[in-house]
Amino acid sequence: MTGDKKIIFENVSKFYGEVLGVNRVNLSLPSGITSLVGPNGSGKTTLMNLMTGLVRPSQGKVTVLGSTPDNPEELFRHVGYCTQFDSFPRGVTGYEFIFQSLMLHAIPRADAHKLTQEAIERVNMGEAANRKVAAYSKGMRQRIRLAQSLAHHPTVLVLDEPLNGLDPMARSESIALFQALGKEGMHVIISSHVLHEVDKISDQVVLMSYGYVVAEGDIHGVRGEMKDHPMQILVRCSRPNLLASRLFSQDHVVEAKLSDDQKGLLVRTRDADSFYLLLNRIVLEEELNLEAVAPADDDVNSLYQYLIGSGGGTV
Amino acid sequence: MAVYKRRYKVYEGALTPAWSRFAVLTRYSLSSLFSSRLFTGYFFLCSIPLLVGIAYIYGANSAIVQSMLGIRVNGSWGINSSWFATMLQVQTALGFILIAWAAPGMVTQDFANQALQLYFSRPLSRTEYIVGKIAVLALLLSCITWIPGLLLFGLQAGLSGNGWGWDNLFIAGAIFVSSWLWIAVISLLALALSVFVRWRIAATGLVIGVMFVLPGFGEAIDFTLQTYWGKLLNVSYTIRLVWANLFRIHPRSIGVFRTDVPVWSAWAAILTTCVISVLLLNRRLKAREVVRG
Repeated sequence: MTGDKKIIFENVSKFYGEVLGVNRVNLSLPSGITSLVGPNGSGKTTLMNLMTGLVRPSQGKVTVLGSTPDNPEELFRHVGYCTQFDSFPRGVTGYEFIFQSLMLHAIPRADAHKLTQEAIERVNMGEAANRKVAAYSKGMRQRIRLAQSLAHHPTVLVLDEPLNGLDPMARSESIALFQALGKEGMHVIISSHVLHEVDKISDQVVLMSYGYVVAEGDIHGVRGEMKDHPMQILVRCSRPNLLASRLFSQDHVVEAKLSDDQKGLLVRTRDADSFYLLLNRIVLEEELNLEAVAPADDDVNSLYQYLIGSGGGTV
Repeated sequence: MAVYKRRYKVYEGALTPAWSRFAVLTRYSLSSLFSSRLFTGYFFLCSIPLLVGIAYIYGANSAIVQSMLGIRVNGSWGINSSWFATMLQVQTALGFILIAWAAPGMVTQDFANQALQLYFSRPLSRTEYIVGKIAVLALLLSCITWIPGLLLFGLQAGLSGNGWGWDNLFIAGAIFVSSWLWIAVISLLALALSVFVRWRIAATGLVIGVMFVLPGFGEAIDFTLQTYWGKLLNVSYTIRLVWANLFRIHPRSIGVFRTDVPVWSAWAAILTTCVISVLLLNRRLKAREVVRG
């Protein structure tokens, strides 16, 4: 994928006076869904503001699909930003809110009406569109903000905490929408604290802490690189105690723990690939009935805990 | 690895010209302001000086009206540059209340709602944002100051005849330049102060304070230091001093009784006020907030 199809941060740092925003960030984000994960103040919003041109880097360079923030006309044709704040002018209806945003995007009135209608339908807000935003529930506000950010057909959609305040049904609809947009070739950048949902939807994650990128890439790849945290794999099979005894002879297996029902085995290994090969061999040799094999900590939540939650680690 | 079919299409239709984009903010702000009946009522109240002026000019130039009123005055009933300067003074006084009302609400709401991120994540610069907001104030104040002023001038020139308009053409220029000078200073000052405090009531108070409290501070400086430069803190004073110069009248006729300060310094004070306002806007008008612990 060439540089003009990616969002690229080249050694980007941003300082607000003495306050560190982000430091020495090098990223290359392809299309699909990218999640920014990190505690409050880790630099997620700064990173989003940098890619939307709202703040300029103190050093380094940001390019979004080949455009730089120095060329806002070009940049904002590609970028849609949904901020984390409720920033609705008083008395405005959902329809007017999107329509006015499109007018600011330099889209002529006739096209703006058409695109507004399209965006409203996309977020299932058709019935409430002509009601005042002040009367909306939090979830409806979130959806109308999402609609305004994608109304002008951007190729990069930057969403700051888009799942906050949504009920389970609205969450599920929003996630389905993000996934659809990601699969259509859009760059969807999401920051979220809802880790299990991030895990479900992300093609890649960027983990941030204190302004630094701690890890980036697809979740399984990042997890595989974390050598100081052995990977946990849950195996459910017949005779798990036999499996445990065979595994103990291997150097890369750190721990094997039988589950309470005596039908499962939780294995901690430093080399997941070797473990899977070995497991295949043992299953064939010992004629075990294998019910399930699943990584137990190969998700964003675990990455977060290992790299950020417990004070950091090394990748 | 999944292979996605790229179906998503960027909007490729026509775009409106970049220079006209600020007008979206202007249109929206105007419709917000006029959604208040109180504001609309006051705005129309500001046209009273125009109506009074029309009646006065018509009376001064109509023998029928004069005979109906039972008076006969030779000359032009004192319709001269002092009359137009006084008219402008009344109009700007009404306009000031309008500004103190409208300007803070227009920007503090954007700060309170953190809407600046929303505006600036469009192809809209901070300058265009300011121009969009100032255009609202300029449009409103134009309707109260130079447009009625020039209408009155035109009416007087038409009714008076005898080359009055040509002989007094400088008055039309003075009305236009004086009004725009006042509009520029007051709009920039009101927006800068609103952006500075970010709280509507406080911003209104500060705008009024700058116009009425700062002159008192200036007087205190003059009294304490036995000088007259403190008057330059009085925005209203400096503007009227410049007006008097433009209308070619004695400052006393528009309420400026002390003329110790030279006109060039009044111009310099006005320019300084504008520059400080622009710097304040540049410093405070940012898309993001940084909270220092």
